[in-house]
Amino acid sequence: MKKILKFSIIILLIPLTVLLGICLYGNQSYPAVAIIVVLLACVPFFMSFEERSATTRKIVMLAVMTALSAAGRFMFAPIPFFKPVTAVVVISAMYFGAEFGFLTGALSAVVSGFYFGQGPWTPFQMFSWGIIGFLAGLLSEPLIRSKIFLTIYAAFAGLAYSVLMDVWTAMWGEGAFSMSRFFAAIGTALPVTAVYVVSNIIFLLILTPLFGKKIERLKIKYGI
Amino acid sequence: MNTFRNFHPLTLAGYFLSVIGISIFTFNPIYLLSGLFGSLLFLITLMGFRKMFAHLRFYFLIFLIVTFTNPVFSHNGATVLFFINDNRVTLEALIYGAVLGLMITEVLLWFKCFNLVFDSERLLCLFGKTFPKLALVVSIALGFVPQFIRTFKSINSTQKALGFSKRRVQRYLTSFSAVITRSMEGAIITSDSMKCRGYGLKNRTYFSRFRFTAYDVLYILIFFVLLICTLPALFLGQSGVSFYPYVKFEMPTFFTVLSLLSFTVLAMIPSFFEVKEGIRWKYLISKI
Repeated sequence: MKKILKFSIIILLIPLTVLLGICLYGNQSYPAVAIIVVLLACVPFFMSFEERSATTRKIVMLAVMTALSAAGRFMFAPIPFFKPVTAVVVISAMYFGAEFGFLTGALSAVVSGFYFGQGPWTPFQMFSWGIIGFLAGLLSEPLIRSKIFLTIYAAFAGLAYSVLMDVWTAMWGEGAFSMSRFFAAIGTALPVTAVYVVSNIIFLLILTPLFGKKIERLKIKYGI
Repeated sequence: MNTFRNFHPLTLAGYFLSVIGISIFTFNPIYLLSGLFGSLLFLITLMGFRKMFAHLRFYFLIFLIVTFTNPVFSHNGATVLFFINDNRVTLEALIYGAVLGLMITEVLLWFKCFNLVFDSERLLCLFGKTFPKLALVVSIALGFVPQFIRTFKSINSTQKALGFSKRRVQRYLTSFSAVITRSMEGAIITSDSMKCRGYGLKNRTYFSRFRFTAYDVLYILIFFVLLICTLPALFLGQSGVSFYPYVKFEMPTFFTVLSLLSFTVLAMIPSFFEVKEGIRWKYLISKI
């Protein structure tokens, strides 16, 4: 009961922030309101992880997946925009569940922010990677079974990340959201988006069987 | 040492939230300039003149991009400069772009200060009580990242030296896969060892080197008063500037002057502390 109350308060807070922002500031409030809303959207996932009695193994596993995706940004640093972050998030969601995937995505953004600089974009990165992971967790069965579906999801994840971040760019540019800016941002980011899509497909197709084997082995060896 | 960064993380977070929060909402160039001045001064005290100027080039580029892209998207304003493809390019849109660029630059500079002052230890102290498990995850992950990079580098250079997989991408992926195997095995061992040492038992205490002192209470109160003085003018008068159709500054009233003054004081506080401590430090040295 207490749990339900907590969640409903968080969910009620979101429209309240929007209303408050519009009443007090009108259109200029977009970026600030968006940051708060996006952060609030992450809180229920955080809370449910705290409430549930997560085992030590789960905690350390989450830390490893998060660190792998953040460290991957350094390891592949010589190749621009060719980064395994999304792939690691999707894989961790596929094998450990939707909620775990969301947390891997969100925490990857926080952890890599400490190395690449936190900014107003960090909450958006948290949410974008988190939701990509969450969806992958919900679709885990077909993703593990079919390579074609995995390729499609990899492309979708690259596109989704780019578009979600462009929403942010468009808002930040004008102080209010404008469609023309949004499409311009998508247009200028097109080459980067293409690299994201290609790198996601490559990483996911190569890494998924690797991770699968390793996780299977761990399950047999240690009985997770 | 009573420098700004030695305050309790809660005080620091409150400070940065109020400065960045106010900056995001204002479109008055005078506020933005005083905020910019405060952040630049703070950056100088944090990293020195030369390093700061090297950083500034990047921010100046952002400012220019925002300034000159705004007239392309926004055609409001009365003073037409010229036409591109039947679209008016107006002076007002250009000025609005410049103000917007100023705002974005200022916020990014404050975030730069935030990154220099607010490290992971402070973040964990701030959220360790509300999200203890996630704070633990982040702190373990922050320890793993450099460890994984080191492992990756040594595996990668060994692969290179042995002449395996000539193509770079292929070699990187092989090494990455090796890091995955090693780290996952390590994770199981780490977690078992944590369990053996009693993680998750009741009545565990956490160590934190930050103490919430009377000074913190005092400064939070000062920040709060300054914030209260700043906000009303922003709410009522929309910062006293309108851009379309003409750029127009409203007549300053008592509230707007008070608001501007308190925001300026707020923006100068960190550099004041750093400079004060710097002077005191020098004075003490010369005495010895």
